[in-house]
Amino acid sequence: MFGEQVGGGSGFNPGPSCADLVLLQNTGPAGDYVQLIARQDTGSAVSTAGNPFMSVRWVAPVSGVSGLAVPVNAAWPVPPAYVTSSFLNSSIRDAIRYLTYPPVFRGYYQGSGNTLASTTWPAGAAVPLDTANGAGSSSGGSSLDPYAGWNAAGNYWQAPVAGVYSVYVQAALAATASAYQLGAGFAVNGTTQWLRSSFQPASTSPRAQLAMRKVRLSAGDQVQARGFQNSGSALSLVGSGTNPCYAKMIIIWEAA
Amino acid sequence: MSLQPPEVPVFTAGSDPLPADFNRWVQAPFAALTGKVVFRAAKTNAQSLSSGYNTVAFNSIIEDPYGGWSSVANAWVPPAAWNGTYVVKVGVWCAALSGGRLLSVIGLNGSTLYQLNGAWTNGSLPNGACGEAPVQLIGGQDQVSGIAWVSAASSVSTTTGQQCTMEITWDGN
Repeated sequence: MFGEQVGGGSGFNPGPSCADLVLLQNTGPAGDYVQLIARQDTGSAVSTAGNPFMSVRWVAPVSGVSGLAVPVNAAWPVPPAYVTSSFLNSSIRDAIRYLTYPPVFRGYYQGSGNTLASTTWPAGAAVPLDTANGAGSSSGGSSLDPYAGWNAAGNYWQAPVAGVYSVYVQAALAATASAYQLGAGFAVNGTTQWLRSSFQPASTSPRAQLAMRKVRLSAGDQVQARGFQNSGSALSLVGSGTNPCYAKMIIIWEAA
Repeated sequence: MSLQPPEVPVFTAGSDPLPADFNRWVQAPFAALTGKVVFRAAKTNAQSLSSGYNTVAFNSIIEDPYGGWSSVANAWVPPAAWNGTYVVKVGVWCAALSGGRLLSVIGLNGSTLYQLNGAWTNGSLPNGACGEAPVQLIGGQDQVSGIAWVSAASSVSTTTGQQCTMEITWDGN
């Protein structure tokens, strides 16, 4: 899975980022493993600069119980009230279920026919995600949405519960002979927050930018991936069917 | 808000627990794991950026229930006892800057810790870079800051939707 793909030649070191939500389910010596890979196509070796780093964190199990409310963590009953199975199930069982399997989402663009219009900053446009309701796969490139928040018609993910969420959006565009500015961000209920924008020289390979931010959402808030480019003409969005550097959106519930 | 770090309960045979004990053993740890520690801030007013590293003086503290932000040090300190791994996201924006570079950086205790993400800057549009990293922090002690590195003098963008941001959440012991 590819993260950012940026142009070089500026005289400064590029510093691309990569983030993804990956299903790892094969353990043991022959099991799944994760590596950080850097790709460059200058034609000759290039030294790394700074301190490349990789971090991995467990987010949720392979499967679980979804559709739960955020735990309210009620106080323990005080006599003459008594502890019921209902209280224990809601306060302990469902709390564990929710916290180990919170709302997460991974949707991506698989197709090849959509474009991102050239606009005047900071307009931008929605990045369509045509694959957003799958069950996940350790082979990568799969979608995940156990709380069923994706709305295909509106091209947005609707938060099932309130809380602080981490949102990641990658906008990926096909190569173009024009230099342009590429931006990535997301809109909450129609209001766009840009997190990433940088100059891209003319290229013969796709370009991608990765935006990320933690936001507080109310239940029902709509999150949509957004991209920006000003090359002067529409550019094709890169889908997973044509290139590993493709558009996607990842959302993870973090805290109440 | 006064959540304490989650405590792993020990159930002792022969004890005669009261509701308050169960609140400490069950309610409080789950409340801590649900609520966690969260900090979010944005930069909505002007700030000049010198060539090199610039600590962002976040002025709009969106949420900081434990009062960890210091507008003097321009840094956030996790609440006492909440040691652990925090996921820190830093997004920085600079005004139009022709042919330069912008970097988002996490600062820890006055030093740069992680260079997260770089942008080749444009001379006619604002430029943004963002990234995240897990950071081990000692509660009540370590200071985390958001830093913008620019290759030449510039200023932060103050336009809504294109502002410097920093968010931090506790992720575990």
